[in-house]
Amino acid sequence: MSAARPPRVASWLLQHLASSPRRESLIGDLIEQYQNGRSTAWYWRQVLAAILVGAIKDVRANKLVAIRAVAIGWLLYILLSFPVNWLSGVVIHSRVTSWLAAFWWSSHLTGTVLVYVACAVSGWIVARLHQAHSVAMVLLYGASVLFFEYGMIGWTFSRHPPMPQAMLILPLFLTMGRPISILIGGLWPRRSDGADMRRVPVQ
Amino acid sequence: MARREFLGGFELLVLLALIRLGDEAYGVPISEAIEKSSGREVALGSVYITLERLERRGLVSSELGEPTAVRGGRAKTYFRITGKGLREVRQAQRTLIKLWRDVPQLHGGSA
Repeated sequence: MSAARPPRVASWLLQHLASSPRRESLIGDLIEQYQNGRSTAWYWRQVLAAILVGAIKDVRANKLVAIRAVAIGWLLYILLSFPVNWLSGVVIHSRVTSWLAAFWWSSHLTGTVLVYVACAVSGWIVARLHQAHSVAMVLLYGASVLFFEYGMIGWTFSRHPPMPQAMLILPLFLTMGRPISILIGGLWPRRSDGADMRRVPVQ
Repeated sequence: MARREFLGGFELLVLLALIRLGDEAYGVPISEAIEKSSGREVALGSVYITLERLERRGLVSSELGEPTAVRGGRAKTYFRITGKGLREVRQAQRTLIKLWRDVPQLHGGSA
C-alpha cells in the first residue's frame, strides 16, 4: 500500500514543538487519520492546535516562570537595542560599507537585519534559561513582542489619521519579523526528546 | 476537607467516549466518537492534554501499544477509565439530571 505522507514541515514542527509527553502517539494518530483521507489543511490545523494547546498548558501550570521568561525577554529586547543602534551606525558609516549609503533603504535594511539578529539572540537566551518549558516561554515572549509592537503601530497611525492605510503594510510586515526571529532563535536548536518514543522502521 | 474538582464539559465527553470504546480507546477513535456526537472538529492535542489531566487525577489509566509502520512507526497509547473515573461520571450524570429537571426552557426541544 502506498501511504500518503503528511506535510513534512508540519510534522517537523509537531515533533520539535509539541510539549505533550505522549507526542509520539499523537503524531501517530495524526498520520493515521491523514492516511484515512483527512486533508492537508486539517493536518496543519491539528498540528498548530497541538502546539498552542501544549504551550498554553505549560504557561498556566508555570505562571511565575512565564512572568520571569517574559521579563527576561523584554529586558534583553531593550538592552540589545543599544548595541543594535550603535552597530547600525557603524555599518552605515564605515569605509568598507559606505557605498551602502547611496541607497535610501540601506540604513533601514541594516537596522532591520540587526534587530532580527538581536531578537533571535534574545529568544535563544530565553529558551536556554527555561529549558524545561522553552517552547511555551519563547512563544509567550514572541507573542508579547508582537502584540506590543502592533499596538504601537496602531497607536502611532491612530494619531495621524490622514496617513494612507497602504503605509501600514510595510511596518506591519517588517514588525512580524521580530517575533519570527525570536521563535527561530529560541526554537531552532531544540531537539525532540521523544518521551514515549517507540518506533518501527517505516516500509 | 479536600477540594473536590468537578468534571469539565470536555473531560466528561472524553470519559464517555472511553466508556463506549472499551479496550479500543486510543486518540483516533476517541476524537472520532466526540466529533460524531458533537458535530464539531476536535483537536487531538486537546484530547491528549485532557487525558493527561484525567490520568493525573486517577480517573484514567494508559498503556502503550506496539508501534506500527502504518502510523509512521509510532505506537498507540490505549486509555481506559478507572473505577474512580466511572464514579465521577455517575456523579456528574446525577448532578446534570437534577439540574435538568424542572427547567421549562429545556422542555420541548425548540430552543
